[in-house]
Amino acid sequence: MKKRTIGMIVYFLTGAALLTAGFATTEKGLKEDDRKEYERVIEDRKELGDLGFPGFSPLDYKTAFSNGEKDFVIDYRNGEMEITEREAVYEGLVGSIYPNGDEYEVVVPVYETWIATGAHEQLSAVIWHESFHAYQNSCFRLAENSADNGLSETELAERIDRDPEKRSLYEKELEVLGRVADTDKTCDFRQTALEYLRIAEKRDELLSAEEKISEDYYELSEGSACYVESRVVRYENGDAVYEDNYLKNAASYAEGNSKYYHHGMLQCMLLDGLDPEWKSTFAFDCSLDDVIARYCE
Amino acid sequence: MNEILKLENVTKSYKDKTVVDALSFSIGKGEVFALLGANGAGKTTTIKMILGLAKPSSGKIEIADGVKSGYSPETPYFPPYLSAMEVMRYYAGIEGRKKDKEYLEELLDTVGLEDNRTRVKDYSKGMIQRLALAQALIADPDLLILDEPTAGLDALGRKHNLELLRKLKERGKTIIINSHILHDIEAICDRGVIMKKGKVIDSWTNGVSHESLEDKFIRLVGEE
Amino acid sequence: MEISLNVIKEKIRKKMLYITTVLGVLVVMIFSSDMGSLTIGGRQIKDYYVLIPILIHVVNFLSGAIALAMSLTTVPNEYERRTSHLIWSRGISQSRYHMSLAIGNVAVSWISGLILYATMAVFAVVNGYSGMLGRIAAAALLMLLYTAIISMLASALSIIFPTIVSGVIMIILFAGGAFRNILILLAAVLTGAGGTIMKRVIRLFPDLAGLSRQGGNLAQGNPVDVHVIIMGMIVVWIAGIGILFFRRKEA
Repeated sequence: MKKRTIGMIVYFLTGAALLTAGFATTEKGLKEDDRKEYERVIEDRKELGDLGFPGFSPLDYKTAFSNGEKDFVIDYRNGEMEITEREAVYEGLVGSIYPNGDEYEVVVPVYETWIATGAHEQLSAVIWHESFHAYQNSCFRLAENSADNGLSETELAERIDRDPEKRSLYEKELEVLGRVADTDKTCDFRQTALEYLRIAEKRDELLSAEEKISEDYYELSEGSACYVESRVVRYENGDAVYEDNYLKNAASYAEGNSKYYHHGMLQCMLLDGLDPEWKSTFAFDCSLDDVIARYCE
Repeated sequence: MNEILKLENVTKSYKDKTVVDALSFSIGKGEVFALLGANGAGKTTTIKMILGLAKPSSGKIEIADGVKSGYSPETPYFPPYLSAMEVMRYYAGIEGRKKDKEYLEELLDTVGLEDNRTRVKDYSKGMIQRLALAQALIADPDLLILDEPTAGLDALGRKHNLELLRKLKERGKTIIINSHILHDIEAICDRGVIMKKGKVIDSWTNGVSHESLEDKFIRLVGEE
Repeated sequence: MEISLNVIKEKIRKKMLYITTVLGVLVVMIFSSDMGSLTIGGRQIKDYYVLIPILIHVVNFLSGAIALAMSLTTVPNEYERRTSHLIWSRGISQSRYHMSLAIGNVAVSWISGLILYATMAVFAVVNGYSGMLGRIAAAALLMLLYTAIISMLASALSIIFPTIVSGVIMIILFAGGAFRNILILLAAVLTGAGGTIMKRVIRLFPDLAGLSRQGGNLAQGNPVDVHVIIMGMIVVWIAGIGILFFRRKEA
């Protein structure tokens, strides 16, 4: 046989071997990276428990990893992951909940997309965040009971960003609440709460009814979910990352809707300082301001 | 005389343009054959087809079995950073030959490049032409195809090259020459064909006619 | 062998290799020194262990760019200078000729990439991470695959297309591959037919970003996704098929 023929045979055999190896290593269905993120949630749950919110567990809600075309849904029961595939319920890059009959499901991007966003937090922390929304709505019907006349997060944020007076007082609120995030100083929680409530009361007079309802709603729903997420990141990544990602800029006013996440998270931390057990009776039926006020009476 | 090369109705067209049109000729072993014609007559395309550098659109080119060919292009390019010996070793290597230094030196001596250490970048056009000839001889070819082998050479260089071609002829090599320098053709070639617009318009045999090749060429090609 | 060696010699003699590599080394030095410590998301990254995956992305990208610049013109130059006449007329097949040129291209790209990795290794030692040298060397193997992909694809395309066309195609493939993760993100954000089309198009790009990510994983001692590496090798193999079977009509 000619050298050339032998060379060609070797080349095509190499190709066949590579193609076979390529097929053999192709991940079908749920990818290993996504599975690892969910396994991390399972491990976190063992250590973190319900984080003080009675009955809360991210494992109670089906979690879908979405690539925008397909959802890979994990149903965790009796210590086993059951994985199913379906058409994506949401298009695009989504971290959200999805009402499926009587249940709420968590939908997060697949890991491959998630890391491409350059996000700091683990995808597992996002699962905790979204599953907390599922908890708020499954157990307390938060969305159903609130904000009938509410504004969208974006619209609300734009209105506040544009109004110097409302913005300035919100900055003050954040500044006062920020004391609970200052790890260098000890915080007088009651004093801080009173000071905060005084500013909040003054500011409430400037807000329209829809602005007030909406702000309370987003601080409660997103702020408390951000609070849960921050606890998970602290556990998974340590104090340095937690402080860097959640505390460092929490008290700074940011245009857009992220300020509600931080504001609500700081409110939850203030409540922790006022009474670590505040969550045990909280039914998501009033604003976080109302809960703080109750502890200051 | 044994035929070493035969072209039968060879045509080459590019899109709508026919550059070689139904060309037929044959060359016997040991002959020195001239391809003559003005620029654009189709000589270089013919050479390219013989060498397999271009495929004929139609027709047949037959080269006798076992014939080795060597080619010296009109405008050869050699890497400027190589010396003549490095160029020779490079092409010898490509041909899969043992890089016998003495043999390659001898070839360079034959073409008058005794100093084989100078880099190509310092060579004159004539020296590059000689190097082209030397590399064409590496395989000790039976058929030598030379495109303008004396172009750009000074009088001495031309004389030297013609002598070399004569020696090669004496050694029984078959040579095809494409040249504008009709005086050189008359000095070395046995016969040839005159081409115009891709076609053979006449043939020429050395010493048969009283009319000089130059006169014949001007008469046939010069009249547009 | 001679043809491949000559490609390497030519690139070295023409100083193309030096110029591109010196530029690359400068970039690596800037990124590796305090002066260039990265700020990502408001956080300064000075820890070499954390910096190394980012450095690997940068160095691989530079190596890929050098590979592209050096591989794109090799084949067309051979035909333009008619060196091809002297090769074809010796009965060397186009497959062998083109593959030899491509191997030369790959070798030159590797030399330049390895110089950049050596620079990175020096900075690892300077920063007190000499323990990472072995893993950086392992990551360099993936750079070899990364540059081979670029070099082989550029060589294959340059056989059949004019340099400008193969250049444009290669820049698209290279940029798309190197920033594949960003494209994936864009495709994820896009809804409707646009998103679907984009997801299909992304599959055509070699996963260069994935290879760099695996390089980073290797350097940090994290698990490596073998599938990405195998897919990279398949791209090289396919480019090889192109080199073996793409034909020029004339020398």
